Amino acid sequence: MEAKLRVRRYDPSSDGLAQYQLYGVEMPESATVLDTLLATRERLDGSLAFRCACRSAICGSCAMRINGQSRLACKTKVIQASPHGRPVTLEPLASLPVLKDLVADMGPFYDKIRAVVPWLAADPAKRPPVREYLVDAGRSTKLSQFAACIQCGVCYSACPMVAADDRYLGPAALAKAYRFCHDPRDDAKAERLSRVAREHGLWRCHTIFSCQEWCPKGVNPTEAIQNLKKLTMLKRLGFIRE
Amino acid sequence: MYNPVDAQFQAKAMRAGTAAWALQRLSGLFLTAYLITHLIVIGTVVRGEGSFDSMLSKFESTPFLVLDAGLVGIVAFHGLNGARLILLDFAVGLRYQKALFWASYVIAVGVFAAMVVAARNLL
Ligand code: SF4
Ligand code: FES
Repeated sequence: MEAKLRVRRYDPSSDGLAQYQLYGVEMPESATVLDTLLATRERLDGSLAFRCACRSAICGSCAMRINGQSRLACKTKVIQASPHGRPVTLEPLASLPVLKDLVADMGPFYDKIRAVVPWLAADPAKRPPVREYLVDAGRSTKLSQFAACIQCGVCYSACPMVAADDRYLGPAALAKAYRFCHDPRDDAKAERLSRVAREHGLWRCHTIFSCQEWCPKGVNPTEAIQNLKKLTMLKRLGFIRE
Repeated sequence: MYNPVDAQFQAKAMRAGTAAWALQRLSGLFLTAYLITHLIVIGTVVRGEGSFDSMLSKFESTPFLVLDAGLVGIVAFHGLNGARLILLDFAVGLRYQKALFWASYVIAVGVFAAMVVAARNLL
């Protein structure tokens, strides 16, 4: 079949205006959007810029907007996006600066993840256990959903609140914060909560659930955010002390 | 048979979460506009019984009765969806958010229909 792409082209070294360019390339029916982009770059236009690495929805680098919806290009077939053979529109992720064509600058997204202390912070004054740290099965199952995040930025691009407030931490960073706040080995809960329970943090979420709808890895950031809100409110109301 | 049309692409327009968010704001704006109108209408009472009565008689026509029924429906939606949002903020019913939205919506439409019937009996 002929796979047609309509790609938003932007070259920072030119006059700075973005344009849409049409490509048509012969592909098998099983081709993903990423396969088609790779074939287009090989056969038609070597100047086309996009990111990819794993081609199997693991690295998170091929996230872009496909027909206006934030998705992984390697997890979307052309025939899914365009069952009637119309050109598939490709644009870079929303709410992020564009470097070139489909390549968005992920800097602001990573900075916000970094801002929530996204690692296990053990209290140095505490004695480590003699044997391994134990995490019970129930807790680890609950956390595994949030640990599955590949930091692709799909949720960030799909969230209307991120679009409205560029200081909002966004779904991925808040899901990360929840993942570590609920890890029994962690000692930085208070610090992390104080960083996220702010105007441009938790309270910016209006439960629109776009992040959860679009996440390609089945993460539910809204659930994380709402649980953090609950934790914060119960603390402020004096029901939990820590 | 393999259906190449992905459900995600089909549901292009709006998901329940987005619809709930937009409707909550629209209904809020409507209720604010209603409240202002209401205060102005009630305010005419200070100008005496005559002007109050003549103002009220303007609202006795069918279109205004339908709007009144709509008002009750919108209050029902705004209130029920508001309760849904409070529950969600306490992380209750997150997995049922869509069902809760549709329930608020259907109940509100039902309330509106019941009010239209009641208004017809008034006429
Ligand atoms: S939560 Fe999902 S959509 Fe968001 S960055 Fe992680 S994997 Fe991507
Ligand atoms: S190329 Fe790695 S997620 Fe698509």
